[in-house]
Amino acid sequence: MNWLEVKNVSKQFSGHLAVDNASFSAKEGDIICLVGPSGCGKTTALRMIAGFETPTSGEIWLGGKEVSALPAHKRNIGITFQNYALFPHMTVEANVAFGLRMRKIGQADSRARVAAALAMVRLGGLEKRFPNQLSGGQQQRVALARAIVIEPVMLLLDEPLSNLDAKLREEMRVEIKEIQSRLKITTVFVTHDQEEALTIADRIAVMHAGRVVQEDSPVGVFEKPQHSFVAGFIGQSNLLRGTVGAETDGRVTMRTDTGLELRGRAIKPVPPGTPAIAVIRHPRIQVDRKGTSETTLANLFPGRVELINYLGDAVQYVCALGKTDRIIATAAIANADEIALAAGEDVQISWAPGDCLIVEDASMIENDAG
Amino acid sequence: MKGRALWTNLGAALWLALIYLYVLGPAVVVIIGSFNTATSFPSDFEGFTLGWYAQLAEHGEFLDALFVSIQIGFIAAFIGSIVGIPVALALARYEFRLKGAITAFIMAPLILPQIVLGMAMLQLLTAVQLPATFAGLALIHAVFVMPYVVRAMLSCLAGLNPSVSEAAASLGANAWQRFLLITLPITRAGIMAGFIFAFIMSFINLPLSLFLTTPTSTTLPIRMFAYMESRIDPFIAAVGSLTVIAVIAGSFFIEKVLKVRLLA
Repeated sequence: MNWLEVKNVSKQFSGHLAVDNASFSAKEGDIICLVGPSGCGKTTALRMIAGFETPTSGEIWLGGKEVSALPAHKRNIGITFQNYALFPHMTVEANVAFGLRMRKIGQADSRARVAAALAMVRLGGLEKRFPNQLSGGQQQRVALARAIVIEPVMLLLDEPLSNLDAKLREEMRVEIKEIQSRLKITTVFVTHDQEEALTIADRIAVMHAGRVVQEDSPVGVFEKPQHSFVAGFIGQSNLLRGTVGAETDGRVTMRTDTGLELRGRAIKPVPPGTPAIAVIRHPRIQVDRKGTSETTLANLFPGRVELINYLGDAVQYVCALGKTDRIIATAAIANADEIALAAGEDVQISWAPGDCLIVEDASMIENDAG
Repeated sequence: MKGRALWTNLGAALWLALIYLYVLGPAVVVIIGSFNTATSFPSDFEGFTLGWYAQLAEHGEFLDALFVSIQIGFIAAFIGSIVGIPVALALARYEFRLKGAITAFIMAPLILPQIVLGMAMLQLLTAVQLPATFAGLALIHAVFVMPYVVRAMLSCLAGLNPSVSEAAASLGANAWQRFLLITLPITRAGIMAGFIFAFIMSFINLPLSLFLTTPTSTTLPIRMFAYMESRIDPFIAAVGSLTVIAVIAGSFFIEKVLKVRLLA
């Protein structure tokens, strides 16, 4: 049985549907990531689980109980906020002890638990500081300690890493994962960063325009996107719009709006004539100097290198394909000498049909609500 | 460039000095006059004396009026806070229909002519067959000062992160605990500033009190006004100076110690 069960939940704000019939679930001890662009409804979904918002319709089950009508202070859920939301008038110690105080835990017991929680987030020694004397990373740790010290039935993390700088973000992500797996606490992690979601989650619910468009394992959303939005949002991909043609030998053909004939594979059956999107990951594109190419790949097109972006351990070629298409290819490199091409050079751009996912174009039905 | 910047700064400083002179000049004239040995006010400065201040001890009616004003100020500020703080919390936290209209209604006492407000209150009290009393006076002052409480509180709440109260809820605090342990301590400065400001606005108010004053509930401004109808001398300047200094001290405390911007 799932520990968290969000069933057909919607939330309407004066005329605007923030969450639209969303369903997702998490097994006990799992991290589920709600991922999507800003305004996709992920934070509203989180706020409904926390009890700050009441669903307009649908049910939220937690540990086998329906909690939709339960006020936030009776849910025993730990939450951290994007802006940390520490109590500015209390010391670190008092912040962390607040939940225990509400539970009428005795002084000695409380002190021991606060110390343990602060040790867990590696903040021992800062007990007497006030929030405005702490760095962003330290504030986030206090917020985390404050949320876990009450031994909540569930942990909600709203964009916990987005206000930290890149290096600290990585460090904190690993730490959150460690703490979470040590406590075996079921966690909902909200982020707009698909890479973050892929690395930290056991399950991912990709949200778009208030809906959960795919709920799957990280591998599932990455390798088998069921929806064109997921295909475009997860991973670094080239997207080409077009119309599905015939299906032969398990391969689907697609004619792009710009006139290219592609061969690829469909994850879900797409009948001929369907508007579709071809999705090709950046690293799966091969770019070779014209004439020297020995490739026999089915998708082979002449193009031109427009821009070369050096990424350190990889190089990114931004290429013009045909008149209007633009294709980005990345190649791993051991050193800069391996950058074989120059900007302005005519090249052959190719990719294998197996690396070319053809997904029905859902954006033809719904507009990007942002 | 440097020279021009200097002249610009000098010009700005001069302009500022002129504005200060225009605003505070009359108060300075009164304060200087209160130390003058001459028996009329205003007049040329003849010599320094503290005698006019000493005379205050002989004017029991002024001390009584001061006491009435302090009492009314406290009651008005207290009632204004009790009503105004929840109003400000609601205005800051929730979006609702007609919010603009309701805000304007709450702030209305600020722009309504007070003389009209005072007269309306007198008619109301007469209509319900209540004589003008101390309580009536305190009540009408409360209505008038409430918007100042709302103002101070709103300016303080603008800097309050709404998630903070939600964090407390997630940790098990009910609405009452959230108010007492989180919102109230964080907005303490705003509450104190609102209270002091409300007290000051009541303390210096003349037009509202004009209709509702009785022999036993005469406020200090009314007493001063009555005194000045017969004569104006350095004694009344001394009383006025004390009032001005008290008000400036209160405002300074709000702006510098509590760090609440009242009129921003």
